[in-house]
Amino acid sequence: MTAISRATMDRRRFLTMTGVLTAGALALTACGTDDAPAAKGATPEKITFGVLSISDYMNPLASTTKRVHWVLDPVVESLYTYDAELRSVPLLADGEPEVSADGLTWTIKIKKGVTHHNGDPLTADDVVATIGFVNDPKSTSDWTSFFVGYVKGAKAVDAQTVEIELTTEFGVLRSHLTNLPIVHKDFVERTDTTMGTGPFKLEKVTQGSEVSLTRYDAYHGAKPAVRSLVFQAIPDPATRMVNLREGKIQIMTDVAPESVELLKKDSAVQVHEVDAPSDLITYFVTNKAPFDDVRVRQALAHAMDRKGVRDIVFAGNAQIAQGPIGPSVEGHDAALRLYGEVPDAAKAKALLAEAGMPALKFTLMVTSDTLMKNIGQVLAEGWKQAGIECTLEVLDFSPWVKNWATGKYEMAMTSFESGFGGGDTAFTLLTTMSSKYPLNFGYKNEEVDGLLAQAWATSDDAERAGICKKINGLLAADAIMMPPVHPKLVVAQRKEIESLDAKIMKVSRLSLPSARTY
Amino acid sequence: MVMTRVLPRPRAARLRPPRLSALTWTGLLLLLLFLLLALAGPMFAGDATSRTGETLAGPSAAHPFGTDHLQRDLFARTAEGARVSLLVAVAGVGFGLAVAVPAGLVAGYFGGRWPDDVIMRILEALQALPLFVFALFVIGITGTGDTELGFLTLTSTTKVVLLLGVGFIPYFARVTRSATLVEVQEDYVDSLRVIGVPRRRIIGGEILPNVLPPVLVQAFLWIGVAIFAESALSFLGLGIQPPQPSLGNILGDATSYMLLGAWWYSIIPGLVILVATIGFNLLGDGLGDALDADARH
Repeated sequence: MTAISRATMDRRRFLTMTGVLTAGALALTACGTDDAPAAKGATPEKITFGVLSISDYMNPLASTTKRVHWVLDPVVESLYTYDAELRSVPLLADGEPEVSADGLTWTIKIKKGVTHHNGDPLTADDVVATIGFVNDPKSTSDWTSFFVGYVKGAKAVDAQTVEIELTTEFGVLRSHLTNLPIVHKDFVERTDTTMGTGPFKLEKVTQGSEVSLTRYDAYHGAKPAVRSLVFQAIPDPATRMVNLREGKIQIMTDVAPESVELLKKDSAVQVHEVDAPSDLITYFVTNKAPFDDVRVRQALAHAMDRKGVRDIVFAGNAQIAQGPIGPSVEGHDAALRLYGEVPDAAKAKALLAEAGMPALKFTLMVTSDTLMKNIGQVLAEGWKQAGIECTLEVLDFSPWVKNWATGKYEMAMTSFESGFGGGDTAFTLLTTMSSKYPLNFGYKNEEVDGLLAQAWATSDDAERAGICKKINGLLAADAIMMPPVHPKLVVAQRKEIESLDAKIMKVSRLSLPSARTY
Repeated sequence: MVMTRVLPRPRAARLRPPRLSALTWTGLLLLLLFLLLALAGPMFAGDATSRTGETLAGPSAAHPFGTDHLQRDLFARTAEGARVSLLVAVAGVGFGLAVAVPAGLVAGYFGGRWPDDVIMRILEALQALPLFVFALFVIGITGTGDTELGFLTLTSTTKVVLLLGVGFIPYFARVTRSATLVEVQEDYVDSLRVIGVPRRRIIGGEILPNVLPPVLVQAFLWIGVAIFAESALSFLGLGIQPPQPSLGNILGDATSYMLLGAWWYSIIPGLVILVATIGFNLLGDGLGDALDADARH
């Protein structure tokens, strides 16, 4: 009995103490932190990036996501690169490509004297192996959509010459070769590490958590002053921000929109807000109801709360979207005005009534990151004003991709930095709108198909931009791809280090000007 | 039926008005506050998903709990979240009881024999998996969205209810089994067997009412645990999915805004979880004590 009584008292004490301690902890967490003083000094030996996440796969040929490319961009290089004005100029290629009269054969000379980080010289075999990998559908690489169907193959003419054979004229290949990293031929299939010719080499990989790069002293270009780059995965944006303000990291990516104003007030921090290919990509399954009817999609577009997404989710740091192509991508049409900033419930209801669907209910599948959940909730609330009932299906990225790839959704939305693969071209965005694209799920517009073929064939950037602008207008009118806004790429850094190159951010890259060769 | 009536009444535990300690009264008060918020709050608050036009506004007369990052009234969301958390917790505990009580009764009735061994080994295996590890495993496989099982669609809310319930089964079954093991030693059970009352009726009709009070007190205690567990799962993004609020997902959203000075966003739903958990525990503990005292008496 005494034992029971003692046990009861212990439990009571425990409960009382738990209550007191938890209340105390909650009160303490409400306290803010003071600004960290900005340290002044020379270029540091090491620069640490705080990023949202780091891919488990250290292969830049496997995907075109920021989780891979922000980390590996300093390690690998492409045949061509972007100069200070974002024009494509030779890097690993020795001069401009020779294109045959029919446009179907590209001959590229490889620069001599360039070595990989293991000391092996860069040869045509490395380029052939790289193109062979991304041109093989079995590789399941993101890059396959950039090459398969257009490229017949690549062969080494001699140790320093590569010949790329095409199935059709493919002028946009120049952009692809400006973005595609060239990897050592023995490493194209490796996922645990990679081998390139860049100014930094991979030093240590702690899978999914941290990657360290050290300067490659035999680099063929100008050697950066910084000796080492470290990429730390810090998933929580508030923790990333605190680490930046305390100087534990020098560069912070994926700045939460609501933190931008706070960071701008910090005298030790510089915030870059750049129009970049940071796309909100939307998809419909258009081969079945309700989205097989263009009027239903248009009703959704008219009832979309673009202003709500811009002001509430992005704290004003985005541009209202009309079509899929954003301001940093060729083909953007700043004059296009089809839909309002705020929901036009009357127009939406009229279109739904015309389509014989006065009560529209559908499911919007979004990825589970905070940004997409917030966007989904704001959009659903806007659609509610027009009597449209949107249920959110929040999925982790893998199941989202699985459902998207198998067409198991009605409307889907995710965010993507498309500059790594497409640069400033609209290839990543628009190629999925071709009726021949396997994951298209029913959208067919012959005019769009024809224009897409022309856009990818031409080598004239201005002509391609004009064609893409037309496609943008057609897709916007068809309400087939309807991002509510075009967000900016927001990166913050400490002021004591060299300022990031804002120009190159327009194609999604992060780079210190002194660490770039072009 | 007639024969059982002439037998002396089994020693059924009677719930008399309990004498409660100060801590138990405190628990009752906290619990009433929580129930007031969860059951009456949603009736007075507006729509939990409507926008107020104010982003991260502090508590005021118009918005007593402030507003959130998507301009929604936090009183409405917290009240709705408390209701959802309470319903999920009660349903989870109910599901656990529905499975555990029959299993515990059978195990206890056949104590030491093979049905007891089989049931208890299964439950021990289940108990060996911590609730969160189990939840992570299941959600990892099925995802956070709806899951289709043949013609059946399990929503994220249903999955949380089932996960909590399955996690609680071993605990409820053990309490039921222990109470049943005591009951089967009683003379009235032997008498019922001797006069040929079917086993099903002995277990369901006579033993069950006598083992229920301690099991229900245990279940009451576990509602607090269930609210906490549901909140933790939703906080991690594994439980109730937006825009439906739950105390956990409100708190999960709030973490990003602490540094921006939006203290109310974290503190208020956090306090509600604290009040519910402590309230259920103190009151459940007090009721358990009262029941023990009654049994001793």
